[in-house]
Amino acid sequence: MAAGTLALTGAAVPLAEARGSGTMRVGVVGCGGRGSGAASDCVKSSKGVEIVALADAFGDRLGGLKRRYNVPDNRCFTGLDAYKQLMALDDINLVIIATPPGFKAPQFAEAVERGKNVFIEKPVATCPAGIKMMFEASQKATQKGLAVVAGTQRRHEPKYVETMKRIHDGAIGDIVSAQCYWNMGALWVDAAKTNWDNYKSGKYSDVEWQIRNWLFTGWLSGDHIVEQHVHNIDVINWAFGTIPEQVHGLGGRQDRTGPQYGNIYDHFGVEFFYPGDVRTISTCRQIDKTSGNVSERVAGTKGVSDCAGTIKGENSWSYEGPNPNPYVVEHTDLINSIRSGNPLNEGRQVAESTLCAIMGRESAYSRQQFKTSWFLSRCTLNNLPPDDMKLSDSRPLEPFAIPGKYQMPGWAQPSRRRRG
Amino acid sequence: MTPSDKNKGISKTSATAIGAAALAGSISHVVHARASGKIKVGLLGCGGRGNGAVRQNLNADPAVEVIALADLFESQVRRTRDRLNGEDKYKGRIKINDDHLFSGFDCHEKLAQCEADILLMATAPAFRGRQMMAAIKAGKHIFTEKPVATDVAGCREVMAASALAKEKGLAIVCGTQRRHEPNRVELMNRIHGGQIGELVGGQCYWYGGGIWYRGYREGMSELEWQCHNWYHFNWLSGDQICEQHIHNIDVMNWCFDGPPVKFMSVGGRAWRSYNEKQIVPAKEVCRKYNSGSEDNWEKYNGDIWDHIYAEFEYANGARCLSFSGHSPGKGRGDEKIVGTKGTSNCNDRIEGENAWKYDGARVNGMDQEHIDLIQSIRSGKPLNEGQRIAESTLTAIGARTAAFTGRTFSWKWLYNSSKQKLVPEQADLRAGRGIFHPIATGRDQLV
Repeated sequence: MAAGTLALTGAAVPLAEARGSGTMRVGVVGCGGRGSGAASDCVKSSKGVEIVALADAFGDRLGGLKRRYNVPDNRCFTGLDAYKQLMALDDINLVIIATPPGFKAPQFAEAVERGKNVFIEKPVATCPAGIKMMFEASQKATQKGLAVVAGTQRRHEPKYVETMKRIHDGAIGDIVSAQCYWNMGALWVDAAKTNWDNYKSGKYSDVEWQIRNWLFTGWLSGDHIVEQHVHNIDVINWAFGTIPEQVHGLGGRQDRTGPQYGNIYDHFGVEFFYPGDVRTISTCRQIDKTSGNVSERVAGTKGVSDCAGTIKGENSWSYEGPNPNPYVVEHTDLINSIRSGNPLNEGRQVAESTLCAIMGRESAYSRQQFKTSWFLSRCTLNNLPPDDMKLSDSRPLEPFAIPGKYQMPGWAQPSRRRRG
Repeated sequence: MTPSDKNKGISKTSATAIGAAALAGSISHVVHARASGKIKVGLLGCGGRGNGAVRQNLNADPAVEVIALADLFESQVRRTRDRLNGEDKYKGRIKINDDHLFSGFDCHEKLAQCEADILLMATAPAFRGRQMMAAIKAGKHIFTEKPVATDVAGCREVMAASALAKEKGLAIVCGTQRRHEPNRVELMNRIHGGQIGELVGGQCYWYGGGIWYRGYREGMSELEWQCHNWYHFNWLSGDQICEQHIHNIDVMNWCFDGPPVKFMSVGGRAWRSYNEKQIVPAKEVCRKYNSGSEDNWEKYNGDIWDHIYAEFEYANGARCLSFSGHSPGKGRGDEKIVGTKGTSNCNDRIEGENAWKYDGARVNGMDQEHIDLIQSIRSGKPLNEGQRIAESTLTAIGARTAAFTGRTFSWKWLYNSSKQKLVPEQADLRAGRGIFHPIATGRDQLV
């Protein structure tokens, strides 16, 4: 609730006694659209914020931020290990991590190792190995007194915060049913084609193509259920105050079938089983000319809520307060928490929601139902990039998952021998 | 039924009648037998399900005599008669003359003109509307397998046939046998009586490992082969959500005492297109009908999807999951309903404030539905499940359509305004080329 309280106070009050240096000296890792947006939101959020270093796999992605914030050449780093050079700078006390999800966990661990506060975009991993790395590093961040805020901005949106407060106080009774959706049109259609043309003409290596085209690259984006729908899954986890015990999902690649779209699906339907066998509907889709719906809903024994400002039932209510830009508020809350000496740490929370989305994906790929405990202890899927990976590497993309053929790493098919 | 249940507010009187019949468990006390004392039965559709249904009907009442058989394929009709004639159990009750063996695309019209009292319908679902209408016009009672249509137009035909049956005092019972199981009947009485409070959610599932693929058979035209391998074509089967999962969808509708008001679905075909067990025979079929060429063999692999994940929103705002498909993986086939005061497995128990477990007699619903049909005819109170099964079929079609188009729409729109019609007119059905449609994209146009 600390975040909520801060969010509702609304203003980025520069606290009299900022902890350590009053100035937030920020390094941005991942200077694409989201990294640029996050840098700008961070600067807007509070006084005394400076963007002082940049890192990206590609030099051509750095230019915008470099010019906007006058970052000198010797503080701009490129290549796959650029983040290590940036994080080695002692004068940086906050790092924004906005790289493709498959890169984030090792980068987060490095940031914590180097004693940096972190703003990390969602999702934070694409495999259980990455999730476990996130769990460990988050714990370490707490031990070191570092702040971690994640780009699940609904957690910093007052209408959500106020609604959740009421739900947790019992306004809708016990939650017995829930739904969440991210159904929308296609993304990056032109970029995918350009990337594909460059790849086919030999301009890009396998690895460069996959990174430039990361949204459609499973090991990097985690597929769209992880990359995007994690927001809505996170809200449902928030409402329940816990994560699901089991998952069972479906999905496929029905419309977005061209090779330029890598190996991800275009739709998922997943059922999450929360404690007490409370079952949740989750759908996500990226297909043009289809009906859109990005929302959440929880139904309880005494009422229902959209999680975002409305409760209907015994305790009907609607939020009428301010609606500040949550993409800015999340940075305000982060920086206030650092300066006040009460660092927020959302690392585990965002890793757990990412985990749920990854489980949904793996269940859809394999068509198996499994428990969260199984997945964390037995699924051996590891998408983390090897330490020595180079942009020029040959590393063909895995084919998209076909149910019945896809083998979820660590899943043992039940033996049929005994029945004979 | 316990005395306390007698006045519970179940709205479907038929369900109460069924429950009573089911619990009575015997037909020996029936008073109003027909004058002849015999019930003449004709079977339409002599495949696996038809052969099962005719035996269940024979088992339901000793007065049943089978007098006619009809199927697209003459060989099926003859084989079915031979088998029935060969079973001692039914000795003296199989009276099928050669001139009561009907085959061809119009076999249902010929069958409707014979002297049967009841027609059992178990062909592929595409043609059920016209089959039922012909039968009702000819004054026959009907047992029909589910589902009863594969498109919206077909559902409307069945609704019209059902209305006519009501006018004429004819019975229609449908093969959604869960409606005839006393455990479920009693459970639904309790749910409708408020024992789990207001309904706020629910789930229903039919996910299985797959279905047969019937390859080329000598002497069949392409369209006949397609009808033989009907499950794989949407216009013939309605896809798996309609053909199979309708059982569970019907239970959801039963809980809410009506169909949903809104549909939203996602889905696709992720496995069937890569399944060697279909690909190999599909290529062979392609070669047979295309002078040895394998060009465009994919169309012989069918056009149905293999997974649909649908959300039904019911009139009170409750949103329920429908989860269906075929592929390797975790299989399941059941339902759950969630209320403000408890939950139920939709079968035989309630958990929550009014916990309860059914401990009465168990019967096989697939037998009981025939007992209930005949009893309702004898008692002069013919059951008519036509409108209800048309609504459940339309529910499945709605979910499928939402998945195929990616569009969200209302029941009202589907029921009143959709122009979806997949099944050709009767006059256009003849031994010849097959009728193939492209696989749905997930963004098909909504019609």
